[in-house]
Amino acid sequence: MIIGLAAAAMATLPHARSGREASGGPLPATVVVLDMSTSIGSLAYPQVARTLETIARAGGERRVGLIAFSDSAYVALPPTVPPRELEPYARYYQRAGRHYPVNPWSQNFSGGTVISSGLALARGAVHQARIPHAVVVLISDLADVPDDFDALQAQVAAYARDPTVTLRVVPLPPSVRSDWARGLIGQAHVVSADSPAVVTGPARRASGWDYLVVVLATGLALAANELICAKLRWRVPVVVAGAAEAA
Amino acid sequence: VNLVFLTPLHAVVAIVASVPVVAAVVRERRARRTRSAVGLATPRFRSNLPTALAVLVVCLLAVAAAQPETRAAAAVTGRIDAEAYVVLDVSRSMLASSVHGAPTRFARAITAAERLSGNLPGVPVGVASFTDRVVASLLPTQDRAVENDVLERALTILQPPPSRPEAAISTDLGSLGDVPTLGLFPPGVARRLVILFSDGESQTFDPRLTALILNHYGVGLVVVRLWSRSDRIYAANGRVDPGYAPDPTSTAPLLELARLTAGGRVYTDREVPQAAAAARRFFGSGPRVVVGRRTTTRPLGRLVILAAAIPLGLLIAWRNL
Repeated sequence: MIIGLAAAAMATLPHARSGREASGGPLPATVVVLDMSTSIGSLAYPQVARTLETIARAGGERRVGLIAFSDSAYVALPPTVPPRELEPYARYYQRAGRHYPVNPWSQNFSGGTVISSGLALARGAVHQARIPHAVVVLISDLADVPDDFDALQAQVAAYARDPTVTLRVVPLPPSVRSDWARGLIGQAHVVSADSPAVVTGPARRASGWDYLVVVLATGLALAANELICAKLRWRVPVVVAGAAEAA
Repeated sequence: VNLVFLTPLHAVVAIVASVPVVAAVVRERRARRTRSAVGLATPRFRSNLPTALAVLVVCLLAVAAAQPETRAAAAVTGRIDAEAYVVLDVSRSMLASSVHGAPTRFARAITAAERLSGNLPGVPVGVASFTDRVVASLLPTQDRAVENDVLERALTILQPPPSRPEAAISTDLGSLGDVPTLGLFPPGVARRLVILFSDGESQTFDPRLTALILNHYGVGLVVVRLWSRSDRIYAANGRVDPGYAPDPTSTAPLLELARLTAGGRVYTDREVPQAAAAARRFFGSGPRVVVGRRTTTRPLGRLVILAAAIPLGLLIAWRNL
């Protein structure tokens, strides 16, 4: 039973340690796929800021990643960094006085919208980092370029098949071309900027079910030990040597 | 240091402790009947010790089920008047190496960037990639572990691709002149530094103009070069890529750019301490304030489970051996 208990302790080890900084194991993550294309106007900025803040401040044992995309995509943050690192990005979408700050991507990285490039890279980054489960949050006006239709359809299908990732979409104020992309991705994936659904899943802590199983199994084993293995014990009368001789 | 339980409700599983207790009562009744039948005396109270040990084991495991952990918070101090970006060249020529299998320029650049940032205590450091445009990845942070994570996991050659992929040379050192107006640094930051890791092979650019722009806006530049005349790009099978040869003419403009900016000269990746010293000279001294708190978490569940093995071992030895 001791060996079993030790084995159980070792079995619970990955859950107890998973993703903690000290051990380096991968935690569930929220991966933001952020549309940096020119079609994203300041009208959409408050919603972008709210979504980033919701994810950054959601708490829980999880990590975040950031994929930036316009007509190409790149990994800005791998899906292994603490959520607080997402907060500074939100400041570019918040008014500073009467104006929004200069966005580092607007001059250098803005172009068309190729959503499939961001989604493909996000899924790849999740698998590469061996994240057990990730919510991929697409923040976009969904004004996808028509040439991207087939690739986007393939990505949506890949997400549907992949149990490692859950797709969520925060639609920004739409442009005229957004209807078909929204239809393709599916209304079921759409969430609002401050919805807990943008982090649902990854925010869960280690469930501790493995610990519960250990406790229950040990309790039952001890009860069985009491009933089946216990020896019959009794008190042996003390015999005094002198008294025996006198008798 | 705080003790917290991640799943406190799971401690109700201590109710399971009643199962061996009930079993012990049943067993004791049975034993009493047996002793009475054969005329034996009832044993002393200490014979109940095994039951107490069994309860202790289950209680310890219930504590483990609640997932206890300690959390210690420590203040993080740093400069709020100074920030730096390590800017890594992600053009294809950074795949070159001295021999097949040796670290590429890109891999050496990452190692050098990590070492250099580690020599800038208290200064928030961000990460950006660079081809013919500077694109931000990580916004400046005090957390060097996060910075290293981004350097090692996020940066990839030609990701993002250059804005003009058709160009024969994708790097344009002249685009460093865009840095001051990109909005990479918040307005309140007075000491702003770019630490460039590149082979320096660039499209034609005007080093004087680029330096002039950077200096005008008060943005410092320290250049770490990873280049050798004998470097080649090797395929996985060891064959040399005929499409690439080092460009010796790239040296002079880079030396000029470095001479006119904060670093004063070009550093190699073997001169990281000197490059870090140049960066520290640029930053000078400044007030350090508390910029955040860092929490260290230590899970205790496994230790508690292992601790439960001690009374369990005593119990089994007492009862069965």
